[in-house]
Amino acid sequence: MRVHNGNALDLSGAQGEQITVTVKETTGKPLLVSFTRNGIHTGSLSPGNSSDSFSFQLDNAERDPTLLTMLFTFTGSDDHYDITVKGQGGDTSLFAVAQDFNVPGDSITYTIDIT
Amino acid sequence: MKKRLASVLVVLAVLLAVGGTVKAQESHASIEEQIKQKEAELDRLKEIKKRLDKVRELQDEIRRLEGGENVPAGETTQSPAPQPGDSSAPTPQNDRPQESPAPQPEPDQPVVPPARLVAAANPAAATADMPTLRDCTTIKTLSDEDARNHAANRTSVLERYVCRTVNKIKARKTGDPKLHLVANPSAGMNLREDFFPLMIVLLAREGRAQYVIDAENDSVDTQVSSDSSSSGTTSLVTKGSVPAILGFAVENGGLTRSTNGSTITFRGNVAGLAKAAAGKGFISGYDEDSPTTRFLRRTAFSFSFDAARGDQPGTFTGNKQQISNYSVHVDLYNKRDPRAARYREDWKNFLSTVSEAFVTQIGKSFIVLADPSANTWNDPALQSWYVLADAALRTSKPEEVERVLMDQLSKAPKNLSDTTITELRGFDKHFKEWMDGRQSILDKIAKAPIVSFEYINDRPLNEGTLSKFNMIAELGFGPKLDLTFNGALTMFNKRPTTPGVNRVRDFQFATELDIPFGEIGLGMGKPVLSFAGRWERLMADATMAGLTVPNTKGDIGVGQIKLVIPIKNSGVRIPFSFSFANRTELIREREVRGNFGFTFDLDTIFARLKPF
Repeated sequence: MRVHNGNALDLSGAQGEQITVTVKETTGKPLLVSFTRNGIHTGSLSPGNSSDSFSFQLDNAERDPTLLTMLFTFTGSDDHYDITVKGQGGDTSLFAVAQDFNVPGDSITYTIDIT
Repeated sequence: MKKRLASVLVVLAVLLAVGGTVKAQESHASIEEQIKQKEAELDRLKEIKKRLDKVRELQDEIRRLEGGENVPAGETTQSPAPQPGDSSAPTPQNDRPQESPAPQPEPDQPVVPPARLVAAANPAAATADMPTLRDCTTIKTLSDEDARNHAANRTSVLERYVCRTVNKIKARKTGDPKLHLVANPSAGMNLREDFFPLMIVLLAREGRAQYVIDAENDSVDTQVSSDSSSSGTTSLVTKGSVPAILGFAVENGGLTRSTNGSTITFRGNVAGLAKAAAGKGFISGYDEDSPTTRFLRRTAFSFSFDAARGDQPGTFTGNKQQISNYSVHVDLYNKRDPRAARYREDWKNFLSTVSEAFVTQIGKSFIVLADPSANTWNDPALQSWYVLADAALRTSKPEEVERVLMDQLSKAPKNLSDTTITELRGFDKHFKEWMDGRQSILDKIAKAPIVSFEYINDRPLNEGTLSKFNMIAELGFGPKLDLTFNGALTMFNKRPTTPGVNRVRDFQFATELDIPFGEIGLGMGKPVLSFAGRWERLMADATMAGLTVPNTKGDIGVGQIKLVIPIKNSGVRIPFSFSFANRTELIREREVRGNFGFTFDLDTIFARLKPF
């Protein structure tokens, strides 16, 4: 997997490459994260853990680029999620979503071009 | 050749200033190859600039048309065609779903302003103006305080998301190791990150989602006014939580004393004031989150001044002579923590239902409305606006981002395509359900018990000083009801010389039920109706000016009905109360009294004036 243009959300990977996404809540708040891949495969992480992960394989028959949208829910004034995306070698993508201005949550979308 | 290379680079630098990007070159490429690449890049950037100029020209024509000015038909020109393979250019990609372009008027037909034209074709498209947004310093202060107090938001969803986007863009420009961001001074908006707040802006712009624009303003659990023992207070019961930085209250009337008075109370949070005074600045001090700060946040103090005292009675001087009491308040037990295991199942249910439904909607809307790889919207009107807004942000300095973004958001388009409107409807529905689902769990958490301790040093006029030890318990129940108990013991700081009188002056028990109501309009927020009662036993006859007032020992019962009306988005609350007592401390006669007052959270003023 590669990170492009210095943008942690702009990724590419090989067809069939396994991508692992790990999210950690660093301030001890509940881990409130839901995600959807290409608007089809949806799930959530376990709110009881401070860190949790999920994996999937890149499949250009489904969509290229793969779009991974993640929704983060905040519960306090200092929530902070660190997101790490790794493939089977290559770069590691590091990104963070932090609570500010008492907003209830935020979403980000990764694009993963399949090469 | 060097001269040629230098001139190419100069032109390139100028064009970069309007938002162009240059791909990194391979270090091993020859000078000729680099020149060729630069020239190709230059041609591409020139094409972008042409399109930017054309977009500005068309927007100017639209503004003139909307202003009622007639624009000759010949002036209306077609948008430049997108170039295939132009991935970084702010134009729709050819391989992505696209909206039909807005209908263009025939040269011989009367020119119709595009917004009206779209609204006529699409009744769902509203034409609301963007609401006026307050500055982000004020929004930061108010929203942080509301978060800490688990209080209803005095800022709108829109204001908070816009200000957060301001901060995010600033962080991209300046870099932020905590967010894993490397400084990029020409950073602007990025749909991979900003799609969510931009959808909220469009909801507000469309004018249908009122919940995005309104502040909630119905907080009931913050004690701003003075303790009930002060002369002139309208509070019979002390509440469990306190303002984050500093509160101010001026109230007229009296509950348990036989004299009226005017009491001015300053109630503050130790952490916020200490850090501000340390020169860290009001806002940055607020963001600190060390364990000591966390503890200090649970600690508050207050000073009350009686303006009727001192050398200039009736004038507030703030000197020692006018201090009528001071206090320290600490939260001892607080189960209002979303991390607690008792709320885990609630969060699981929330994630598996509304949160997953919402993220699916976001993902679907993203695919339909945008091309994140090219950082473009598929809606032509939206894309035209986005190009200019993004360019303006890219060329702005970090300190200009707030002004530039606010300005650009006020120009967000109203003439959105049917597809965009449909996706906004879906986003609106799921966004509201997600916010409501989250809030219902936070409301449940906010009803968990709080136990606090308060020490008050009371300095009544013409009497010995007193120490009051007050335990405060607060519990929420029902839809939004709030119940508070107080149990207090008051002691003389010096043993009275009167025979038969010991150190314990009195003990008291009090309770209050708060019932919030819906908004009443006319610029008012959500009023809160309260019923309160207090029973006090005086252990000895009261004293005044060193003299014992005979036959004043015994029980005092006080009841109160109070209505607090907040002025929307101002931090101002106006309490009206009606109280009745079997007697006062000095007179064994029934008494009925009406009080009114005015309270204000000084945090709002501090944020505006930035005194630190």
